[in-house]
Parts: sequence; C-alpha cells; structure tokens
Amino acid sequence: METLLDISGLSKRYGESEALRNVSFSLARGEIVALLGANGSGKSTLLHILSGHEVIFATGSWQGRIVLDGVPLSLRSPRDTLRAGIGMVHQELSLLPGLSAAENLFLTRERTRTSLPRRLASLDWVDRAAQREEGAAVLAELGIRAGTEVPVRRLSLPVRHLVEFARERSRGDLRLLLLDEPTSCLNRGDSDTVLDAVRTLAARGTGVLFVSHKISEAIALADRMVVLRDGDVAGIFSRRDADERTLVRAMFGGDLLAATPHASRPDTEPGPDGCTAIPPEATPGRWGPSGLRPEAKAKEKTGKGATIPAVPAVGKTAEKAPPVLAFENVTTATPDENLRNFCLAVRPGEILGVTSLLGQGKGAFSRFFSEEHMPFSGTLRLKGRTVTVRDASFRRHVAFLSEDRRRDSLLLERSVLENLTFPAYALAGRFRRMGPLGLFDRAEAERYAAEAVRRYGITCASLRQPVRELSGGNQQKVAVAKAAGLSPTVLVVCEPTRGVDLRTKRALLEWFAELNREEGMTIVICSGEPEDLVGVCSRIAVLREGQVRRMLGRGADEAALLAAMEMDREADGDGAANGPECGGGCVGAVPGAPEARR
Amino acid sequence: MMRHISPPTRIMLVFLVVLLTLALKAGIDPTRLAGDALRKLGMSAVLVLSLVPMMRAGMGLNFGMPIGVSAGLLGMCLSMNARLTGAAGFAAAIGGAVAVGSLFGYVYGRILNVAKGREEVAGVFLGYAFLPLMSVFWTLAPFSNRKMLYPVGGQGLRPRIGLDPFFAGVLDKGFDLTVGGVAVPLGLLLFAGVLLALVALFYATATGKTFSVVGENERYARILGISVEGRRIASALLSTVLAAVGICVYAQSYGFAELYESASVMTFPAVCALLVGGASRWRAGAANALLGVAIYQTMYLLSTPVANAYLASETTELFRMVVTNGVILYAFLRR
Repeated sequence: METLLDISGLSKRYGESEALRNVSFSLARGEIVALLGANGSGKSTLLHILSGHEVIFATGSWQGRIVLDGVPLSLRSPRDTLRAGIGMVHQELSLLPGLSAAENLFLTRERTRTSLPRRLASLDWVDRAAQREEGAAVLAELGIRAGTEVPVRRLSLPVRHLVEFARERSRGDLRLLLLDEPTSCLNRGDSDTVLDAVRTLAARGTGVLFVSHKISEAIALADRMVVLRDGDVAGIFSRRDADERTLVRAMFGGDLLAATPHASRPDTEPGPDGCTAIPPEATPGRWGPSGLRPEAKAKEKTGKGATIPAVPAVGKTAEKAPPVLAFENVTTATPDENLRNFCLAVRPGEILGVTSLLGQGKGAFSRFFSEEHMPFSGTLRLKGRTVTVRDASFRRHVAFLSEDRRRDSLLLERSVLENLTFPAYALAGRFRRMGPLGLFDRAEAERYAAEAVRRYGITCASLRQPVRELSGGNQQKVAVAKAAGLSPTVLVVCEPTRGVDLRTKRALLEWFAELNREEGMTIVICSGEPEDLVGVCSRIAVLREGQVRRMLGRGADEAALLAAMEMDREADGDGAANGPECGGGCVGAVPGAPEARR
Repeated sequence: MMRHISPPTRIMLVFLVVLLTLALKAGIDPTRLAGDALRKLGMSAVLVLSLVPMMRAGMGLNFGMPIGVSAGLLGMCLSMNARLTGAAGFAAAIGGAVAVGSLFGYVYGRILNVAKGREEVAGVFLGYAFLPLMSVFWTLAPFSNRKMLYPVGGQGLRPRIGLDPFFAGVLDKGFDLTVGGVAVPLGLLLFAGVLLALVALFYATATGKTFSVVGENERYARILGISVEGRRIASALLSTVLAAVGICVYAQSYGFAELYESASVMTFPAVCALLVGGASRWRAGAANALLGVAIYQTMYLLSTPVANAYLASETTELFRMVVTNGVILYAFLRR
C-alpha cells in the first residue's frame, strides 16, 4: 500500500519531561491506525504535533521527521495542518459556540451564491440557505436531525462532538484525519454510526489516525494499532495478531484484565419484567396504597430479593425507604434533547445507572444538574422536600460531576491541594481554623489531600502542581475525590470514564462501589458506556424520548442493556418502567410547553 | 526570582532605582522623599485596593471607579454640609460614603451582571456617563454651607472645596511620628493598612474564596451551588464602597475635595498601580495593591524633582501618562 504518513524519530519534551521518545511508524493511504496507550503515554502530544497545536511550539517544538504524501512537514500552526489536508476532531472541542451547527460545518469554506473573480472570491455572498440545506444533510447522515439551527453552545456535548466530526469529514481536501477519542462521549449506537463513517472515509483513501481508550473499538476498527508507553512505541500490532490482552499488556506492562471492578451492595432487585418495585411512600398509585406491583409484593412476602439496609441508621431497607431524590413528571425545555414527564426515584444507598441513546434523555438528565436556569415543570424532591437545582440544600446534598470535567468540575489553574479541598472547605465547613473567621487550615487540608492522592492513586508531582498539568485520567480522579470530599448524600456522575485509560476506569468504578459500600453514599452514574453500568449498578434506568422506559436490575448483562437501549417504539408502549417510577400515571404523556420554574 | 515578577513590576523597579539614584545625585533630601513616599502610599492605597474585589470576581479592571469616587465625594459633602469637623467630620464622611457607595455599588453590580463578559468596557462608559449626571447634581443639590458653594451666586458646589476647615489631614496628623528624620503619617498608614488587612483576611475566609472561584470558573461555582450573580453584585458593591472610602482618605490628605469631572482622573493611575504590583487583569490581591501603589507613587514622586533637575519640568506629566497607559495596554495585550 502507498504510504501516506511517515513519522520517524519523533521526540518532544515539555521542560524536563520527555513526552515522546524517538517515535516512528507509518500510515498507508486509506489505512486506519489506532494509537493506544495509558493516560500520559504521549498520544495527545503526538496528535498535538500533527495538528500544529500552539502549545507544541510554545514549549520548544519537536524533533524528528514527518512526511505526508512524500512532502516533509514543519506543522508550525493549525494553518499548516489545514493546508496539508490534515483534519482533526478534538476531544476538547473546537467549535465556535455562538454559531449554529451548519455554520460551524462551513466555516472558512462557506457556500457562496455569486461567482466573483478568484482574487475577489472572499467577497462572495454566503448562501445561507444552501449551507443550511447541505449542513442538515451532512448532519443527518450522523443522526442529527434536530437543533442544527441553534448555537452549538446550546447543544449537548455528544451532539457537539458529532458536529465537529461532521465538519472534518465533509472537507473535500481531507487526506489524513486525526481523531482524539471520537466516541468517548457517545453511546454504542452513536459510536457505531461514527465508526461506520470513518470506515467509509478510509475506503475513499483518507488515512485515519485515531486515539482511543476503547481497546475493543480499536481492534474492530483499525487495520493496525500503535501502542505508546511512557513516550516510546511499545509495539505495533496488526488486527490479525492483536487481542485485547496483548494490547493491554503492551499499554500497561502488565495484565489488568484479570481484575474486575467491585459491584455495589446488592441492595435492590428489579421486578420480574426488569422493572423495579416502587418505594411505597413515594408512589401510592394504581397498584394499591403500598404502591408496589403485585409481583413485587409477592417477592417482598417471600423474602426473595431481600435487601441489605442502605441506611442502617433509619432501620429501613433501601427498597422500603423513601427515595432520597425523586423526579416527578419533570419536563425540561431546551432546543436539543429534553426530559419529558420524567419520573425516577433514586433510593438511598443504591448505585443507579442512567443511560440512553444519543438525544434520548441522557444528555438532558445531565444538563438538568448543571444548568440551574434550565426551565422545567414537574417536581423534584430531595428527601421528600420539593426543591430546585438552585437551592442551597440541593447543592449541599447532591454533588454533581459533569461529563465536561475541565469546564465544570475543576479549577485548572489551581493546585491539586486546592481542587481537592476547596469545596469541602468553602461549602462543607471542613479544614477551618480560628473559629468564626474560618480561615483555611492548610496543614489539615494537606493531610487530607495527601491521603486522597494516595487513596485515589492520583499521579502528581506535588500537591502544589496545577491541575491543568495533570493527564485526563488524573484530572478525573481529582474531580471524583473532590466530590467525595463533600460527603454528599447523592453523588451524580456523568460519563465518569470518558477519556480515561483502562486502569483509571477500573479504579474509578471501584471507588464508586467503595464509596457506596463503605460510606453508604447514593450514587447515580449517567453514562452511555455499558461497561460503566453493568456489574456496577444495582439498577439501570434506560431512557427513551426523555422518559424512563426500562429499568434493568443487577442481573442484566451488556447485551440486555444494549437491547433495552435500542428497543423499538412498539416496546415503549408497555410502560413497564416509567409507570412504577411515576406511580403509573404518566406513561406516554408528553405535556405542552413546560412552565418555567427557575 | 526575577522570573516570578511581572514585566511591568520589573520595569518599574528599574525605573525607580534609576530615579532614586538621580534624585540623590541632584541633592534631594532622602528623608523628605521617604516621608512623602509614605504619605503617597497611604493616600492612594485604598483607592487601588478598591479594584481588587471586582477583579477577584472575574469582572476585570474597574474602569467604573468614578462611580465609587462620586459616592465618596457625596459622603464628604454631606459631612461638610453638616459642618462636622475633625475626626467626627471624617467619620461622618466615611459613613456617608459607605451608605451612598453601597447604593451605587448595588445598582452598578446589577448593570454589570447584564453586561457580563464586557464589564471593563461597560465600566468605562458607565463611569463617563455617570459624571455628567453627578455634575448636574453638584450644581443643583441643596447644600447650604457657604464654604462649599460658589462664592458668587451662592448656588452650586465649587469644583474644588478646601477641607482645612473640616477634616483635612485628620489621619495624616493624627498619629504623626518621626523616625530617623522621616515623618511617618502613622494614622494614615494604619487606616489604609487595616483596610488592606481586612480585605486580605476576607479573601482568606471560606466565603471570600467562593468569590474568587466565581471569577475563575463560573460553571464550577454554579454546580457547587454558589450564587454567581450574587457574588458579582457583592463584589461590585465592595469595590464601589472601597473607592468611596478611598477618595475620602485621599482627599483628607490632599486637602481638597475635587468635584465634577475630577473623579475621572483617579481610575487610570489606580489601575496602573495595581498592575505594577503584579496583578493580572483577572487576578489580584491586597498584596498587589500595596506593592503596586508603593512602587508607582514613589516613582511618580521622584519623577518631578528629577525632571526639574535634569529635564524640562513638563516632562513629568508626559512621563506619567506614557507609563500609566503603557502598563494598562500591556495588561490588555497579555492574555
């Protein structure tokens, strides 16, 4: 095959630290190569070099040789990259937030309606109608059919990812496409759409170099896999001779696949049809005053599916205890995806999973916690009391980690110490000294932070190192440790393993189980990754059209979860899960414009 | 170590050393220079400090400082109109300044919340738009103390009101001290020092830290349940109140309260001093205010005698304008 990209002897240093050491490999025209490695192995640095990222030259450039189509490249800026026909889909997106999806697609290559001489071509009038039409068609190929006219800042993160991918994909001069975790925030179905699109591109002769932490995805998609470890090439594998275990060993220097994450306490069981029983106090409904379905009542009598008390102090089982957090007929109004008559009861002491296909409610569920001004109708209850997301009591009891950790969950310029301790200090009254003044007790905070660093395995030079300098996985660990430090009643985490390597992913899931098991913390994991949910969560709510349409129990395997996510519309009509969560009163009902409450 | 000092601070320190050498060479009395430098430090410290809260809250440089200054002038006028003198007069001026400043600051904060992301430009225009309104007020307000009014006609406040009959020098002379021939305005320095310490202490508390977090990452703050809009309004209010108090301190030392358009000239030197103190456009503390005002005011103090001795005396003002505007421009060029 004809070589498209040839990298030889590529090295890069950031000050004293060596990010890449003498990296060499090539990529043929139409070939898909996966770049694998643990967090901090040099994958992002390599992509930064190939995309002409400003940070590379700001930190002293690189050494080695990069040849594209026989032409040596200097790649000093993103402009050089564009000219060379290299496209990049960033993990941290590079869209203009104020422009619509269609406008972002055609930025710098606008469709025009006049045809001025070439020298004056930049003065041609932009044909907005044509852009809208063509943009809608390009986006529809990736399953985006709504919200293409609104500014992209108002779209959910997965949709924004798809828009960025569509932008690069639709470039006519594309020779090499770089993808940094292209499916990290997409669920299985949407990932498949993107991966199919990548295959189509490659079939047309475009070379693809993609970074992913999903090894199975890399094996399924890539022709070859380049594994980086600590800045070196640890191995180059063809699809034929690569299996998951071999790749993991090359990435980490050991076999991580033997270990499995600890599951949460077996506190709840689903009903016979995969739906959970309703907490009696919360949902007096169509199945009598207890609110339990007949099957659930029978189960309760026989002791089958008996539960371990989630909150032993109150002497109730998790199943019997009133929900700690309850959504009752919640409907949101955003231009992208919404919750519609959404009902969900989160039981004390459980680990609850929430998932859906793209645009079916998972994103709206996440944004419900992060956007305090999102209008909604319905009722949100915390320990039985009606609250809103803006209430101080809500924020005190419910800690939230969004999928965009860099933007929402970290103070990037602050140190590890400050990130780990600030919320607990400012909001939970910890690490304080001098009585009413409540000054920061640095010594106590440092002890706590050192313990958190040890416990969560955060790799950092010191507690004073800015979080900005940590790898993605370590940033995620800091974010989790920060939230856990608040000792919340409920911890809501969205896409917790997005962009982290296998080892970190394992560690994070184990911590959730540990926090739940040892501290009785109720945890809600909102994720499109079945691996984040199956075997970890005691129940998994599957959303469709903004409602809970299935509630799977611990016994559900990945296939069952995927089947539930992909279920067809006919299955929606049974109202199996949303019914009980709502007391059976709101299945299929979609109200009109929601009443603004916040 | 020099790497940790911002370029404006480095340049100013070099200038300061050069000016000091030239001043001493020209035979200027160093003890007098030191005394004047201390007085200048106390005079301007609170005004510079007033920029800190808004910067901490991510609202940038407070170019709307004339609003706070006007509040302070109004406080002083109310005190003078009541014919209060000495410490009581000054305390009343401060009380009036705080009250009026709180009101102005609250409204200012509300407006800046609407102009989120464009606070500096909005501040410039608010500041300039506010002064004509205040000019109308100074002309029409029913003040009755003849010492404040135009001598002819008896209506409207004078552009420059002498504070000698009221509370001029009440802090400067309150605890005057001479150490090694240097006149130390202890009262003035103590007053400014206490305010600097209070502001520094506030930002070391849990509540104070939430203000800083609002400035650093608004979304992060919101998710933690911190009221972003509330903190921003409180910061604008605090900046305005400190500017109001700052002008009272400045005026009692200067000996005059200057009304009408004069309020506009306080902003740029204060902004420049804070930047010289090592603050960036988005990060500042009381220590930056203290260091900045010490360097900037001392340099300004030295430039006059040095220019008189070696150059034309008019060059002082030109030099000051170039330095002030250059430092502010640098802050905008720097990301």
